[in-house]
Amino acid sequence: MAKGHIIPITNGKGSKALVNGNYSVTASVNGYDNATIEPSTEEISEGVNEYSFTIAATGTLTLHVSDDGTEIGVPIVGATFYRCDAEGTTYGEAVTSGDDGNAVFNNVPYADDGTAPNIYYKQTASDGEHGFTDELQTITMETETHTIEIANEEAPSRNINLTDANYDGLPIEDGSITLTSE
Amino acid sequence: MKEIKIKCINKYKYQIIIYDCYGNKVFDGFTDETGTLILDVPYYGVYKILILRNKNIKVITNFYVDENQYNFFYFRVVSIKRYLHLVTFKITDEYYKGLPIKEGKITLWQKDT
Repeated sequence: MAKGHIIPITNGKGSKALVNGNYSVTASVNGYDNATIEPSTEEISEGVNEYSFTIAATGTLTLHVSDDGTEIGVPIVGATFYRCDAEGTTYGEAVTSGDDGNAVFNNVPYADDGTAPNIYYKQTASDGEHGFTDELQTITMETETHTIEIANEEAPSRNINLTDANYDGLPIEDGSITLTSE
Repeated sequence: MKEIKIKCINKYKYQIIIYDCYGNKVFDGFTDETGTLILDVPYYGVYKILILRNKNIKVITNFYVDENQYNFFYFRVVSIKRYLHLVTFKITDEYYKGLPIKEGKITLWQKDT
């Protein structure tokens, strides 16, 4: 009968003293599809002391971006979001809201028993005409699909003054300036 | 000729290669399924023995065939594969490259060797 060696994982890492040989691998990670652990077999060999695995989840998190944060608000197109860890480091490709205002994270973890891990994400851009918060957001999902309403309110009107550099206060009668976001 | 008996403690069939002190091969054969072999060597003195399993060398050592002793040699075959060493495992999200799994566990099931 095969002998199982359990390796607790914290923040993506775990260690254990093992003998060399061939092993099959199983996973127990809340919120993920444990059958997706890859590779499912591993040869532990002399001189190689670090091995990497991946696992996948099947949930779908939709971020619906509108001008008022409601289902019926005007959709914001072009808002971008990244998945993050608890420190705000981004992972994977950005998702961007389409014509319906939806930006969709596929393959995110969920669990209906209260054990789902936190999902962190943050917005990094809007459509250029609406404001947004770039603070790190978090959610846990108890269902396979979930939608969050996000408000990107219209940017407030700003007054721009342009005066002559050599004649203090003298307004420039006609012209334009362009502000490009960095 | 001097009869010797070789016994590998682990009960497998091993290949045995014996060299004399000049590096000449004096025997190349197999034990039985219990790891036992009786053979003749040409003279008393020092020999080198290689014990192999599945073409992997498990033991290399010298032994001395004494004319005044019953020469029964025991070898404990310890595979290099059996040594423990600390192994680190990293587990990340398949679809969000590099995103570490916050908490969980993996189990490695050792297959028969």
